[in-house]
Amino acid sequence: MNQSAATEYSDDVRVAEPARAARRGGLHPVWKIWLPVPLLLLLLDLTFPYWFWNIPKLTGRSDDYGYQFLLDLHELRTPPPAGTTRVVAFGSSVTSVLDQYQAQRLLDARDAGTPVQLRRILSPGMKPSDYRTFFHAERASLHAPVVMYLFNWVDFFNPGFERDVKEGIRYLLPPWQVLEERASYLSLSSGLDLVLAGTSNLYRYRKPIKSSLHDHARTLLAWARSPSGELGFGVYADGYTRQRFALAAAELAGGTLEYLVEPAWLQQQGRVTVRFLLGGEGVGRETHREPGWKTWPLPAGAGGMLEVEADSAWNRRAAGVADDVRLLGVKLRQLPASGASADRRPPYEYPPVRPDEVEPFLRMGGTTGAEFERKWNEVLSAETEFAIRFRKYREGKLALKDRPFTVTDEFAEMEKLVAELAQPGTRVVLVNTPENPWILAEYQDGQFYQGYLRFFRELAGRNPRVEFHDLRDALPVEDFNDWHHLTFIGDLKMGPRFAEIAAGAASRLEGEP
Amino acid sequence: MLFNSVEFVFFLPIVLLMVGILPVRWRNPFLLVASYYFYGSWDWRFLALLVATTCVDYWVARAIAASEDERRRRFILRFSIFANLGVLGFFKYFNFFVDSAHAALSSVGLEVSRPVLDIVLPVGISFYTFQSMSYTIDVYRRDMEPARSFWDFALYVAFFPQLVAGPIERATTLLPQLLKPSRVTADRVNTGLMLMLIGFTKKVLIADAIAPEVDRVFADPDAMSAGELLRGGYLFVLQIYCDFSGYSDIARGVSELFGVRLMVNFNQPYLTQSLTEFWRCWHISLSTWLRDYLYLPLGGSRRGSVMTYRNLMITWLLAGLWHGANWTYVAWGGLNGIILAVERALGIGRTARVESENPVVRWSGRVARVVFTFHVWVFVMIVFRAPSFAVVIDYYAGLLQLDALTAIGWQPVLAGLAVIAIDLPQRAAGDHIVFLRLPWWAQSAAYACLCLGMILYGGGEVPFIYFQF
Repeated sequence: MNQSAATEYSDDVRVAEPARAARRGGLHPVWKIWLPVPLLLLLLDLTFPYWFWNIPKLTGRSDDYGYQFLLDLHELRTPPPAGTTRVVAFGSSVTSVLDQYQAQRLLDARDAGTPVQLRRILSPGMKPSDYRTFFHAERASLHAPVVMYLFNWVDFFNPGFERDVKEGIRYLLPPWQVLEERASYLSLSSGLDLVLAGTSNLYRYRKPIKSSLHDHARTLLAWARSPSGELGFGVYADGYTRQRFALAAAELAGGTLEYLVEPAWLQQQGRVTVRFLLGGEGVGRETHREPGWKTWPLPAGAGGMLEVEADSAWNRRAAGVADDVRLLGVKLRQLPASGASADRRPPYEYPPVRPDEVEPFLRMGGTTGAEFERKWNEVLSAETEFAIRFRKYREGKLALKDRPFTVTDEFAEMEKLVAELAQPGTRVVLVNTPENPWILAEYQDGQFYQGYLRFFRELAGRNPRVEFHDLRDALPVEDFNDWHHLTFIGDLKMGPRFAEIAAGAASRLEGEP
Repeated sequence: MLFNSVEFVFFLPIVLLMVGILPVRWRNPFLLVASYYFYGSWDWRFLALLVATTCVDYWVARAIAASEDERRRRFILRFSIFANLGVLGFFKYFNFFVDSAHAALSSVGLEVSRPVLDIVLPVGISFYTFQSMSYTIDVYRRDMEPARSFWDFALYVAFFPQLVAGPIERATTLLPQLLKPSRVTADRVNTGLMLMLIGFTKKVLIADAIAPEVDRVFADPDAMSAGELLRGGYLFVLQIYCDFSGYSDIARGVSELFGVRLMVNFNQPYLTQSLTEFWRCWHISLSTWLRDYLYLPLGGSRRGSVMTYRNLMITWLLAGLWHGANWTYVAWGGLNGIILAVERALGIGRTARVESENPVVRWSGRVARVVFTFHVWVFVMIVFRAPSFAVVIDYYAGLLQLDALTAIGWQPVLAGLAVIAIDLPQRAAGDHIVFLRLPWWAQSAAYACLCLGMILYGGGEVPFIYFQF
């Protein structure tokens, strides 16, 4: 092309030669610039287990299940105190029925029996085949002679076990173990991905690292917008408080705080510990095993805001004493005159969410009776992703209802899992979790569900180290957020049952060969 | 195979290692096999198409070169162009033309049954077809001798770094490099790694991060405020730039590691002061291809004003069609053609500007022109991104509401600053690898952070936008 043509349409394309700088000289040697890059990454990668798990997770347990699973797993690698029996509960999302902190408090409040440490790991969508892979590699590191599998029929829905590991679970399972077991089902891309995940911590754990980065960025903004600590908060108009509240110390009559620990609270949580803080510094702690009015004298000369924090919360509806869906702490004898509204946000704290905090989610808004039914029908018939999914679950279950029960792949995987877990010196607890009575009524007398229950009874019957608990009809419909996930009120009601099951299994372990 | 895939993390080092240890005579055959593997990992069936294109153009070029008879040479060339455009037209435009004809007949009351073919668009077909065609045309024009070896020519067509999304290379520059590649020096490695890092940063850390928000806004512009629509427009132009120029940077970087230098495809287009200047810096390999093989053969600007504008419009309408089988692309090309024609008539971008002596006035003027050009591009690219004219109309109508302008938010600002942080030093220095002149420790620390960012954010394997073209 001649020069005139070149300048005619696009003129001379003024491009920078990439190697111009190189020709000019003055560049650093390749190794000096680029070698530190992999070395720095390698350093971060190798030291990852020593720093990452010490960074607090800043969101609730149900925010980012994968991150929570890995965090819980990391904690399980530390053995329990000597003489304590660890019970690890595991399963899919239905495992959220077990509030490990509530059950632990109830276990700790017992006067007799083996000390039990109850822990929970869960990941939505994790199937028996996935847990088999998981326990194959991790069983020894969990230090748990008792394992408790919480499941629902929906966990066995897939006719075959999942050939490729789904995105949400892929990095929770030990990568090399997955490769070994499922190599023939994996695509080249998935296989290479697992090789990378098995080789590099930064790659395998990139999702929780990202979550942590994002959460810290968000919490930095929340901190900047946080209210000052000079105002009271957390007190309802009827004298009940939130789990954490604050009021001006000067307003306490006679310099003493008078508060009520309700009997229902102790029934739900076993015992209650209350901490007192002045200016952010702890100045006292009381543990109550008996209900009634309590007093706590303010230290002499104390001023400013008195902050009070209980180690648990309770709910009046769960206790059957009132139709009240609030999560409560103590009840105050005297309301603070200057106000300490329950709606006001507390000042910023790091981490902003505690691991044992209950998330007060009620999909039907805490309604009951006819209003609950109306709301239920409205939510479940909507064209939302949630409603579509849960309609499919129902259709799927009803389609199987009258078919004969067959041991498909996930059930076979369950048999293998139980056989592998039920070794001498261990106990395996199988728990069929509560189901919404409305859907249960539609299929529980059908051939398939009866066969399903028989399968687990026989599984337990075949091995003395295995026990089966059927909790399918434990709760009324108002305690459900959908077909098989409970409200936090339902969870609170189930706490004592799980404490009892865990304690029983631990005690039976003592008689094991 | 995508550059941002796990497979590529393994593929590239293996190929580099093999090329390094194989005897020279096995180097190109191995690279050809590797390139076919790279392409075939997407869909092996379409490898046959690539091979067929290669065979046709190899033998056509030889036949052209062997003949002195102009009529015969022209006939063979036309056969090649017909074959190339026929394949491209079938795979890329069959349904488009059938739908358009069907709609046209229906509009005049003629109801005919519509043939339905479920045709999959072979990835990169527009790129390698144009690259292969330029070779036969150059041989026809006697700008070059035909390749002696089929395998070398096949590698020219299929060279994996630029196979699926360019740059669209010319045989006159790429073939000699493949035949006798330069020694891979330390500077080349530096350059290659730097370009790859810049490319991956643009793609993974910028383009992929803003893609979900762009999809959300364009999915239902009717439901968006003007602020959100503006945000969507800003983010899309940043996304497509980082996505496509990121691909080109990676392609150039990878090629450098093989001792091959590809042409610069993007040259900080968002810092230009007119659309005419912009198109000298955006997808340079396509715009120069269209100039050399379409606009100039049509007569360029040598046959008077009317013919010049006609040629300009034809070129840009076809440039629009090249991007995809949809009338919105044609309209996008037409819009570009009109704006370029207006600028040409006004003398913008063709002659040196008379600028103020006062630096404040001078720089204010430059910044204003850059900002104006950027907004013209945003306006034009809404047509490019929208799936239909109905969406385009909704989008423009929504923008005219001028409501909730604060909803633009911080995302376009952050993404824009990231782009400026890369492009401004490059433009100021006239050098794409300007960052290599920073202190080594600052480079190492910054590159480690960027690599860490890519490990954390790079798992999505979001395809490059231009793969669909």
